[in-house]
Amino acid sequence: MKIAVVGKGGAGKTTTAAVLARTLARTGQPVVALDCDTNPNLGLSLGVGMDATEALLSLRDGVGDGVEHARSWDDIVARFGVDAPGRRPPRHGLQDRGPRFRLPVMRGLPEQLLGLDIAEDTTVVADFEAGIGTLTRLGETKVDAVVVVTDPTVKSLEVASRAARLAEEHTAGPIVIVANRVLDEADRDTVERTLSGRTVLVIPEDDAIPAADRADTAPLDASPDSPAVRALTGLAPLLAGS
Amino acid sequence: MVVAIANKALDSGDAEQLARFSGLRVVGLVPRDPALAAAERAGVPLLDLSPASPAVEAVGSLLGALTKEAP
Repeated sequence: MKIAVVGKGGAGKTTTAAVLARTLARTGQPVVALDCDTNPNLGLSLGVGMDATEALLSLRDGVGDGVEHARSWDDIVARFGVDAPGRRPPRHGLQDRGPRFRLPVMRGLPEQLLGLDIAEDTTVVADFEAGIGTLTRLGETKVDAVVVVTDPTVKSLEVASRAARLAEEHTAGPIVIVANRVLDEADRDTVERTLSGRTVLVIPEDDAIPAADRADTAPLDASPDSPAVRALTGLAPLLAGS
Repeated sequence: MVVAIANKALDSGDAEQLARFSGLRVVGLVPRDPALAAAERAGVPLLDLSPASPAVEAVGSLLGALTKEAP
């Protein structure tokens, strides 16, 4: 399953993509997080730390070469992926920490990589570059779901509206709007009115997110029970159930 | 000349962190300002909605800071 995460810069795409990828990985299915930004920081939101995220930056050209020379998607992930941390939750309320899972994060261009033959059971969470440029360059490449991230500002909602319309050309699957930084009912109404008829997941404004960003930690690790993180963990089931 | 401005800053610690990570001299600090959130939601320039807000004042003082830094 290929999931594209799109939206205006600063809307919360990377935080959303990271929480989604780790939530999915916890279920035990293979997940690869793909950072499509020219200025990558998905690694930070996944919790791989500053050094590994910086290392991903230098891999952009390498991934480009890899597409030409590598035999397969698996080969590219093995060569360029950096493992994000995380464990499955322990069963039956045991105190022991659950088993580690593999969640490789790597950089690359979706128009190059998402057209490759990717195993059916693998979920790719692709954090697209800000704006709608990548969606317009996808060509014939299809994805299985699109997450459009917005906040309740006029500019962000305008990008989200365009992105949602464009997304229809690239997926036959669900298109879910994630409305970040919702302060009150007025914000919620604004989003739902602007994107009426769409499935909207409302995420409340939450200081835990900028606090995690300041500390270079994954929100899911720093504040798993904060209102925004709890709400974001509802995205995976929403995509599966749509 | 390349210098940095700390935007959405909560306190001087944010400016120090920016300086540490970027290696740049931080010549200005624009605070996180609820007036900006209101202007963005209304789709109007902050300068029109809240001309005396802390963020507007901070940006207004940048010119002086930049002029001082310029070689």
